Amino acid sequence: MKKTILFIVLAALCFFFNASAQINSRPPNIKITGKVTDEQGLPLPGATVKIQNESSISITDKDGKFTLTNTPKNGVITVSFIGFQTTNIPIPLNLDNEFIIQLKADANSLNEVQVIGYGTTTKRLNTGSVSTITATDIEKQPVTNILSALSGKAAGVNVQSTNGLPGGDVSIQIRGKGSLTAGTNPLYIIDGVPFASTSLVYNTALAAGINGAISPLNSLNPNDIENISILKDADATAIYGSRGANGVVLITTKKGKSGKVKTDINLYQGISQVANLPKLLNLQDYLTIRKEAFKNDGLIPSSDPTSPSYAPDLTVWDPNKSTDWAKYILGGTGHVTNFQANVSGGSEQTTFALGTNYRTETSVLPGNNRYTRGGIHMNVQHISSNRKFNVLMSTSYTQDNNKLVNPAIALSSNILLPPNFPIYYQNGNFNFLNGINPTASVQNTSDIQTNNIITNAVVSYKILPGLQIKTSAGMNYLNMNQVMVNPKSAQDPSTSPQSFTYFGNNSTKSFIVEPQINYSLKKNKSNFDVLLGGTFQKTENKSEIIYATNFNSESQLENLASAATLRPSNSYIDYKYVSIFGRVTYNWDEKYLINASVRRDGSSRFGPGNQFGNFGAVGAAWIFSNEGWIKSNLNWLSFGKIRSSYGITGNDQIADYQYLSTYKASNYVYQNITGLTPARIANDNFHWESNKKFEIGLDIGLAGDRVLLTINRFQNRSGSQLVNYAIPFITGFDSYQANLPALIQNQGWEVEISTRNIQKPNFTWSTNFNITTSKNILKSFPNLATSSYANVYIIGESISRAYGFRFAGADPQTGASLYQVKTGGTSSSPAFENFYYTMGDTNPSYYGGMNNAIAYKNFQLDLFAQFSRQSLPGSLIPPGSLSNNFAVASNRWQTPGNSTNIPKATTGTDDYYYTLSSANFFNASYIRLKNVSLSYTFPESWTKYRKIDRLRIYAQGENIATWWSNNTALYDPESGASANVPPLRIITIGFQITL
Amino acid sequence: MKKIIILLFITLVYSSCKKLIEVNSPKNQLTTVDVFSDTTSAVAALGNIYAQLDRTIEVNYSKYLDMYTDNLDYTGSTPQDLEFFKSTISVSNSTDLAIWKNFYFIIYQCNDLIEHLPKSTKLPVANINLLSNEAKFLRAYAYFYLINLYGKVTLVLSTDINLSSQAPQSEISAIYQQIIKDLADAKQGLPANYPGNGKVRANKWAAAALLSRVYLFQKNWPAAETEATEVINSGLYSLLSTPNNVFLAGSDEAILQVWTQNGFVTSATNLVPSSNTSLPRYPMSTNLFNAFESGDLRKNAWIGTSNVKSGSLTTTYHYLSKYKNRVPNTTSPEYLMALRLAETYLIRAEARSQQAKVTGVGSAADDLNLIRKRAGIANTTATTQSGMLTAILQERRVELFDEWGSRFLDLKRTGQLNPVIGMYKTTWLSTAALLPIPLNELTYDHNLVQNPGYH
Repeated sequence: MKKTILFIVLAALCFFFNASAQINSRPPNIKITGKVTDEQGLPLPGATVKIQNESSISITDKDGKFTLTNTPKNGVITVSFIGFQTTNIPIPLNLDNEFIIQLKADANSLNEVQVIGYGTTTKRLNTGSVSTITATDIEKQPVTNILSALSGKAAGVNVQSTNGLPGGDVSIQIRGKGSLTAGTNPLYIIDGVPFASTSLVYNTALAAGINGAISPLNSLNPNDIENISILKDADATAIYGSRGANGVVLITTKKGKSGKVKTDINLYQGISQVANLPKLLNLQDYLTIRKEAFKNDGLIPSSDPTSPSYAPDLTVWDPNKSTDWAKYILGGTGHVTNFQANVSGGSEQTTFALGTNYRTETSVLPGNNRYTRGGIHMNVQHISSNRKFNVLMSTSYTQDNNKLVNPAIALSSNILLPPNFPIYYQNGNFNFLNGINPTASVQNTSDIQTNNIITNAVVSYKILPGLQIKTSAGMNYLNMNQVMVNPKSAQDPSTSPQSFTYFGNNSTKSFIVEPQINYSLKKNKSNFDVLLGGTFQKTENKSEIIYATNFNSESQLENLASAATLRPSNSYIDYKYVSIFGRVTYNWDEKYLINASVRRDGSSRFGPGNQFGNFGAVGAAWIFSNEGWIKSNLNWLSFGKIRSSYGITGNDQIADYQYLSTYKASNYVYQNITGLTPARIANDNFHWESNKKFEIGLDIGLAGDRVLLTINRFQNRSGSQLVNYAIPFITGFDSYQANLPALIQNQGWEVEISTRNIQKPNFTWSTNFNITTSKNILKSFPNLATSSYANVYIIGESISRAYGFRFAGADPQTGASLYQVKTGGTSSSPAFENFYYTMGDTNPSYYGGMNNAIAYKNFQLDLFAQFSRQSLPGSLIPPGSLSNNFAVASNRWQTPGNSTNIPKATTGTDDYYYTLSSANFFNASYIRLKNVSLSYTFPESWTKYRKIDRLRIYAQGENIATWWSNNTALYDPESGASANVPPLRIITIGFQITL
Repeated sequence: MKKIIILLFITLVYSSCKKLIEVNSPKNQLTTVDVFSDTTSAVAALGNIYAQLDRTIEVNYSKYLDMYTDNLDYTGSTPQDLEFFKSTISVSNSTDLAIWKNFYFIIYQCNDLIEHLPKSTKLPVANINLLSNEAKFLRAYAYFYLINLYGKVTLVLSTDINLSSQAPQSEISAIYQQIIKDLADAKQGLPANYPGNGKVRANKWAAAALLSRVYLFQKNWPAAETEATEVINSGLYSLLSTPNNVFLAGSDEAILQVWTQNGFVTSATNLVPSSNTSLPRYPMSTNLFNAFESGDLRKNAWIGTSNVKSGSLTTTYHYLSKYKNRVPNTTSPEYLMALRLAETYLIRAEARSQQAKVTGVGSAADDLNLIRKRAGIANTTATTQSGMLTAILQERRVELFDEWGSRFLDLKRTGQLNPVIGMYKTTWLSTAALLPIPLNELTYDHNLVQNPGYH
């Protein structure tokens, strides 16, 4: 295989060299020279200059100069360059003066530079499916995590905030859930350096709590980002081979630009609050239901703690003193301040950018919570005077500090405390219910400090015209330090607590080197581009956790030396990755485009014999609007392209060393020897999964590209998926790494429409809309019936189907829950086989977003809404237990004849089916006004006088309003049923000044 | 130029060979082959299993089974605890799953030892045999409790998931057969001297003591008596003169104890309240408290008292305090009792009684009175076979409470579970004699059949 690829690539190269030798073979006729510049008069090297209807063509040199030979009289010159409007100019009659052609920057998004894997293109010429988000979109949103800014902005990209706290995790899925249990995170590349995508926390005890996992992308300042490209289809992602299956997110940071040194300062401040508090029962309704429950059960509430009928809420606690626990815990107000200063500029040859940023944010929770982030970002670029040698070096350093209280307490248990639960006993001691006391637990603190350094250097040299060698090298060092303190006084004394502290340290070092050769050739109407490259990556992860307890003093809980018992553990992961890749792009007259890429990858995550895999894709496009017969007949059509791609990508987001049978140190010591425990059920047979992606797309521009429409049909089929294959505990474990012998299909439609509705000098209005539908189907699974998935999966249904008992309402006579049973009819205690009814799909059936940007004179208003059609499991429990409930529970069965969906109140737990049934599965569809941004830019006449380049003031809001059926047992439709802080409503005001 | 490219390219292709992705093995882990190449690491793997008896098994087991019957009350409101207290366990109960999976994880580790030890080329044969037989003892220990809680369970004797993952349940008799085979091997293969320091790893007599219990449960009275007699006559063990120090490390009556790192047993942190004025989460039931005869020394030695003030009212609660240490204690450390001589005497008493050796020399009364004497109470008055059996069951309750769910196991094997607990709890159902097989297991092994009464 290797040899075949080598042969094909070399054969192709030889062909190009031969072709290049013929370029200047025509005899000269009339020779003209000139210069191409931008609007500021700076030279534009690399622009294409040609004579219309002739083959003669030239590329501008480092000074923007070109020479054309064999030019006819009265000819017209066409000059084109990426990012600029293509200009046609008749050859001037008088060539005595210097012939200067000024190109205007192109506002048309079709011609905007699009960053793709190992190169750039434009939306016009791309054969693949790529969505781009730029700094202008990002700066309108006061978000902590850059991923939040992508939410709803691009078709096929589903971003959900799983947690409203700063530093909380954000989930992202590109074109559906690509993998069942292997990572579904896309590959993140920041300026060419792969970045950790998974949560940094190694020990679940450290990750636990309301903060959820810590997203490593927090340590990236959103305002340092120039643009983000999201690669979706096989054509765009196959160049990343084994790591492309879940899509690729390319992040490019801001670079300096030549010209006057500019200083840019941006400051905003604001407040945050939980947008919607969950609707819970009030005290009176709660107590009524509790009393009713005892009556229904024929029991009398007891004040004796040893009685099974013990009911402190009815017999001990004050029946009139009510606390709204949701408000108590989530009802606070957070403050946010964000500051950013940048200096950039440089000469024609050397540019630089230097930036610093600081952010501080407090949370809505009680206690002292604070998130702070500060960092610097700098880069220098130098191009030699002959424009052959180019070196770019950039570095960023970010430190963030996340201080949180009560990290280990489940939010839902706190919120669902009975409304008359007293914080203190009469004697002043803390009262605990199931170990929960929201005030006591404020003493539990967590302090996480993260340091992140990303450095990379790119060196390139043009050996010959069109032939460039390039090497990029990068390094990423990410370190997280956490101290989690749990004093005795914060815990329920009846469980005989001990103070304990976790000290955690986790660091990841990643190096990458990618040598590349790029050859491009323009001949007549043909454009060739050939890329060859290789990747060597090494990532090393180390973590240490020390569990300390038996402290000699309660005031020394952060002092390791004062702990009598220390239980250390560590982990070490070494990951290596090597590959070779190539790509050939051919473009004939901007009409016919073909792009083919291959990649061979080796990953240390696979066992011997299974380490290497081959990946590749072919994409083709036809820009039919460039055909003469369309141009002349359909002049309303300004742009039209059909494209299609097919390819194979892979996924190596699995845990390391799964093929190795090992033992690791356990938490237990026996006779002073630390125990050794089996680490896993090893499997040395698992191999690369294959993810086959097919796509067909149509791009249309209407009315001079004022309306741009993209429609994609995608179909991803993955076979032998790498999964944590579920097995029963009788095997000793609950899963092992294996290939799932199933074929899973994700298919759907994506539509993106952008329109410039009004385009007047003083008034513009543009709209962007996108929608994605996606459906997941299990196509085949040989021997499913005898596998451990026999109950869980159904062929022809979604692999993420939600299953449970099928609720059939409350029995009108007895009030008991009824469930449908397979044998027909209903039962209040359905047999186990009825547990596997399909309730719905947890994947959204469609989602998308719409942005409206309105500019009137110096005002700019942006309104952005996102929507999702989805269902989610909730947190409803049968009414009547010693726990508050969602307000919907008040609609319970009360007397014979009642027809309702909520069963009668009971103190028992016999009806465990209820929470596992369709009664607890809700329509969580929503439309959320995600972002509103209003800004005013001071008129130039005003600023110029004060020696200011630009002054802008603005107000921004996140999560302003949500429309959803909140008559459910969900905390928030976006963060789902999980007990996390719902996404916050953030309102900020700020200013930006450029000097 | 072409040559340069070709050279570069060839370098790239041929350098992307395997050695570029050779990685360091995880420094915090040891390959399975290495574990069994060195006695210390092999002992560390075995020690881990013993440690789990205290750290994961007993802490999730004894108090729940005592709540499930009539020995313990519950003052908390955690749903899964309440389900044990009311004897209405749901199939999704997390403690039920913990008991199940922790026992099966022990069985996996025993199987791994039994499979890999004989293959080791570096360990001395004597060590291979010693560790393998201890693993067999531990496997039998785990299966004994599994079948007594869940009835028919899956008999897994291999770490090969192709054999285990979809296995159906085995007949109880087949599992008992395996338990007896493992224990017979262990009894034959293990020395009378304890491996390591103290009595914290199984010896020959630990295997015999468990074997006598297994025969008793199988109603093989002569065999139960024979095994018990062998243990008693070994001369290694003696009953302490008072109940006070029975549970201390190295107790004379211990046949097998589980070593603890800090001198306290994990479950004691739940059972013993933090002060004698705090409300115990798992107080002793009045029913058990009243089961003690007056003057019984065990009442003082093994039961603690907490006086809880609420306003002007003081309520007295009793709690189990066989193990008293709830914080590190190096002066009088406690180890978790796995097998002890008092139980062996009671096994022999019962086996003798069943063989109509009720009174006289070498009778049930002899053995029973040893226990009663140590407790400071008078000899038994029972003289008939049925009277003696009732007296032994009563004695087992007050002697062995809080020890591995003995109350539940005894009531069940003597057919008294439904009459006794049915009378004690209104929520008791006859199907509660077996715990439910956890939901997770039914989901991922479709050959498993749920116990009757659970849906």
